[in-house]
Amino acid sequence: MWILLFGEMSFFAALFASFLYYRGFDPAGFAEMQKQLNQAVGLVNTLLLLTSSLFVAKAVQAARNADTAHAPRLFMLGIACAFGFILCKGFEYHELFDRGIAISDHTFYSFYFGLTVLHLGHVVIGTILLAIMASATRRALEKPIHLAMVESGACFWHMVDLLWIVIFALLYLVE
Amino acid sequence: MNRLLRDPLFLSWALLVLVTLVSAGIGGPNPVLALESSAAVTVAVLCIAFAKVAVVIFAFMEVRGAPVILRLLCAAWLCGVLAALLALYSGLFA
Repeated sequence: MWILLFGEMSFFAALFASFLYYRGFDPAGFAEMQKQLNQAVGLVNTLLLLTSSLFVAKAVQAARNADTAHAPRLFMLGIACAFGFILCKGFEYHELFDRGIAISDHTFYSFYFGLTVLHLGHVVIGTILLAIMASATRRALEKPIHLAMVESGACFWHMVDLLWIVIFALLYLVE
Repeated sequence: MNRLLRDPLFLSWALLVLVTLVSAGIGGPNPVLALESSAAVTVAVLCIAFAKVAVVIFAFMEVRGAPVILRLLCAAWLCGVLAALLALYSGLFA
């Protein structure tokens, strides 16, 4: 699992580095384009993912203790946060498209849409994994491998969270 | 409430939320707390972001209790990526 996670994290790290590299050629243009983003929505999305990570970490603890009442509920709360994130992202895209902003308008937007759509894909995969884990933990996990699978799925979700932390800093906050 | 305050996961989350609000307050086009130079803002925002990533990795992903090799790999990724991003921002590779 960690090989997959390091692969994903390194791939995104290369994209983060490319963003700053290209930003170096046109810092004023990037700063101007950044003003079009809705920082409040980015902040809400960050808080939603951090909160979902807390729920998922608590769910793993509950699954470890064979707590079949709390583990699925905590995973479902994590899923609710994930849906909140997807809704906010949809709202943000809608807002940008309404203003006539397109991916080809500026290098900043190529990175913005590239990074956020790729990340959104990971959010969707992570949400599906959370749903599977919510269903699996309704009954006590019989074999250690089942618990290991739940832990791996949770780690994937936390990776989605940590990637967004850096994306939020780079796209919305860097000056 | 007391149980929550003794829960390391809850405390990690509270810390993450707090520093997220701080970084959102100093960074971006309309900062609540304006720092003098944009370079200082960027360095602060990136360092805070990677500190948050470290909390997620070591607390939520439970790497704190993982084998030494995994802890070292995670620390190397964190330090390496942060150093590369700061170097790129400063124009070291331009």
